Amino acid sequence: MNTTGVIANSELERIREMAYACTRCGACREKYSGDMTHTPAFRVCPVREHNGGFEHHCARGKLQIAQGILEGRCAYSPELIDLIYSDPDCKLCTWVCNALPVLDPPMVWRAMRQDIVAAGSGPPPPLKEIDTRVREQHNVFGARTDRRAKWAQGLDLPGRGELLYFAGCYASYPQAGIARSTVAILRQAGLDPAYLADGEWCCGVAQFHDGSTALAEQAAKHNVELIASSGAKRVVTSCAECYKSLKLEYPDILGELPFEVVHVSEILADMLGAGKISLKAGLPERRVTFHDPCHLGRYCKVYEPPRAVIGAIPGVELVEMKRHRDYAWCCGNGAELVSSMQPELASEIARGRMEEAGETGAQALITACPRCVLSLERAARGMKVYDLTVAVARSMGLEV
Amino acid sequence: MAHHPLYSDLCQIAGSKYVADSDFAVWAYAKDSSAYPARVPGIVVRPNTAEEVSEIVKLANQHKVPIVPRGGGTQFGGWPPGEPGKSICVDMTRMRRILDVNELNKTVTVEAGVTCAELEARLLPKGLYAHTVFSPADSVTIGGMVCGVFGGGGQMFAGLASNWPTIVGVKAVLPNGEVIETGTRTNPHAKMFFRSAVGPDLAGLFIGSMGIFGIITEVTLDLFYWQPHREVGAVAYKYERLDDAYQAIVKLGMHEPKLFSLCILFGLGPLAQTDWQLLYRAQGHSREELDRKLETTARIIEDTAPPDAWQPADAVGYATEFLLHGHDFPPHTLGMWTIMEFLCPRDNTLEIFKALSELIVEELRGWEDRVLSGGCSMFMCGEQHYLSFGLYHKESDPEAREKALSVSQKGNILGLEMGGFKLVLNKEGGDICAAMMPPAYSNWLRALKKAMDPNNIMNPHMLLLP
Ligand SMILES: Cc1cc2nc3c(=O)[nH]c(=O)nc-3n(C[C@H](O)[C@H](O)[C@H](O)COP(=O)(O)OP(=O)(O)OC[C@H]3O[C@@H](n4cnc5c(N)ncnc54)[C@H](O)[C@@H]3O)c2cc1C
Ligand code: SF4
Ligand code: SF4
Repeated sequence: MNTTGVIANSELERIREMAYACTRCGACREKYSGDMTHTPAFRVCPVREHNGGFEHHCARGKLQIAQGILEGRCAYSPELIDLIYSDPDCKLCTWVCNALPVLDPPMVWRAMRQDIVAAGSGPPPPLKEIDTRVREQHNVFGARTDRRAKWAQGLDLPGRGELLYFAGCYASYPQAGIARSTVAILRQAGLDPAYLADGEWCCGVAQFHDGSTALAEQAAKHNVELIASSGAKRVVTSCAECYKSLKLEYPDILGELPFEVVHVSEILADMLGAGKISLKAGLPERRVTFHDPCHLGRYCKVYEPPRAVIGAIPGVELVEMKRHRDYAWCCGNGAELVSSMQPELASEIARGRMEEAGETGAQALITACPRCVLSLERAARGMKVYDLTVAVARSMGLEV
Repeated sequence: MAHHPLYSDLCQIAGSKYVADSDFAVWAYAKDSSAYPARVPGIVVRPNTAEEVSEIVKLANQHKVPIVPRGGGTQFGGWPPGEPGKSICVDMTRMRRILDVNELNKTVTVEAGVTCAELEARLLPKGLYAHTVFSPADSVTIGGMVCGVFGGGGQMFAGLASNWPTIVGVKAVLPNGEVIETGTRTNPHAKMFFRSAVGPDLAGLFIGSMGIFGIITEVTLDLFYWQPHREVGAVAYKYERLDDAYQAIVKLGMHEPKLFSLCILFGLGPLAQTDWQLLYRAQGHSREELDRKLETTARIIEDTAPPDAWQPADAVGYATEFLLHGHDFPPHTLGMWTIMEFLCPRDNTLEIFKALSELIVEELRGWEDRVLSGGCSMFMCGEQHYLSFGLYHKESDPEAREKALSVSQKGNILGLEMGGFKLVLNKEGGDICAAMMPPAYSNWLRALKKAMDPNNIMNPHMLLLP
């Protein structure tokens, strides 16, 4: 047996009860909902589906392996470490698992990753590289820190204010259009969001998931301190992963935050409801579908606001994919894990999702996360992929 | 890590993407849905066609390496041992095509790895239905259902204790690697449309066989029209009114035509002593048919029910959850499920039921916090009753696991000795039953196995066979 270092299993021990809570029913491999005509779920685990279909790729098998680790019957070989890291933590298995809340399978792999990191046996090189970039440049790309706020040039965003926009790495660097659209919409509604500029650090999502929790905690403390000192009472973000970090992970390690965290889709839905913004024009595509980002949907339960916003775009018809809301299929990325560990697998998962989008007859897909946009755009094969903010800004006739 | 000796050969047959032999990969195939011990194969292969299965079986014969077929892995009688660290686990879940839905002949032919829920979902839009299992339908494969549990049961099985009469035939790879088809396909010019074969019905060799006589690759089942009108109902009886409740289900069960697709007398058992709930689901092709069934049901219940029987809203709520959307059973939050289950004839069901209740009370004294008596059910199935007593324990508590398994062993022996018949066997469950087999029958079984499988390749060590 090819073992790697001595791993103490302290985190796995801590959630031992959870690791043993699996009844091996197998619903996390595939699951047809009781109400099949309403939400059929079909195959559950994207990793199992695109990886040969073995047990060890799905939650049931991985939980069995976790038990094997605790019993000393399995050891962390480099292959097993790769397996534990090649999972987007999409949480679909959690959703279908009847043992919730006793069992939340991705929490088990997160604990295993923490133990692997604590023993110095991980994360594997592609994620270690991301960790280094986040530690040194505070973004997942290793891009220059002083370029983080380039997208905001000319916008004169204040450094202080009651409402603060947290752009996150993706909207700050490769997808500046999302950040600019968000700000343009908020301003149209009479809000002038504050912004941390170069002071904003990566939210730490990859580190929360890859077991480098000390680094994640550093990012959390930094961001929370800075946001608090900006006077913000409310933080809005257009990134589903940042949203989940700020909304769930930060309070989990730091306690109650001195500000409220909202996703841009929530604020947009509220503003539409209150008549503060109006959507005037349609999109070039009449039929659109919506992809629920895992971190927005299953993690944070935000399902209706983006749909309400899309529904308000004139002339646009929203058609749901077979798997939507809680059952939505992952875009393949998931906290950088699969896209860095197994890029081909990540693309295959994204292709699967876009095929499903194609089956609806939609001409465009809208999602509400820059990371999902990027994954899905690459797999789009001709279908237009929008971020919600970009579609809304367009419908409002805003120049961004 | 050194590969399994047959790794390259299996990769040649199924493709390297579909072969795994790392220690963690095989470990993930070591158990079923029960608390029985792990039995680790040496390698796992996921074939795509009957031809690939046949080549795998021939290879295994050549090297005398045992094979353990696997469907959804949801047996709960103890996973087949094969030869630890050496066996080839043949995971059938890649073979999941629905091959033919013949609406005129009313048959459906599927590959063995299709799950019950998928089959149901694919047939539903056509207004069709095939008898499969009640739960866990998302995982149980049609091949596993035929081999593992006598064709399965629990879903719309009024009039049937098990679905086996609705199995038209199978295609299977024999232990020597040859591929055969049963039923009317014994005439090579005919389709698979009827169970009768030229000569004896050898399909029966595979039904409930647990894979000891070969690997099923295709199954043909009878099709029925989906009954769109459904309603559930519930009546509760005080705990001490078990005899009255039983009389009600006997009368309901003996009624012709059959009234229910599912009817269960359910309670939390002798320790909790909560009310008994008689839960039923009636279906009909038309609203009138359903109403007639519901009216007759109400009349029979009224005639038999004591004055303190009533129909509580919360019981109906549970019945709706459980029976109408009933693929999610049992509740997973209680822990691992260990079950004592028997098919019983009507004339001694109650006796067995009471004896098992007493045994549970006796055995769990002092263990009440660690091994939960998680409910007992008496399913009405046709002219028989299916009894199941569930125990729950935390898998993280090895002593509780041992206790649950030992109570269930005792309960299984008691139930069998009192005339019950087990439907879910596999390793431990099968061994208990095989130990009671009349010698002439077990000799016959042994001889058959030896003749068909001289190298003892297919699922060895089951039913106390070598
Ligand atoms: C929670 C729970 C509830 C259940 N409820 C019901 C119910 O309501 N009704 C019911 O009928 N059953 C029920 N079962 C039992 C279950 O349906 C059976 O155990 C069934 O056999 C499991 O099918 P599987 O595909 O998971 O087979 P597996 O567990 O993978 O295999 C079962 C046996 O069949 C063999 N086998 C599997 N596939 C093949 C094949 N293609 N060819 C040859 N041999 C094969 C295996 O080697 C093994 O011996 C329940 C089980 C659980 C865990
Ligand atoms: S993780 Fe949940 S859904 Fe999957 S096998 Fe275990 S109990 Fe069932
Ligand atoms: S989190 Fe997603 S990818 Fe990971 S095991 Fe669960 S369903 Fe599969």
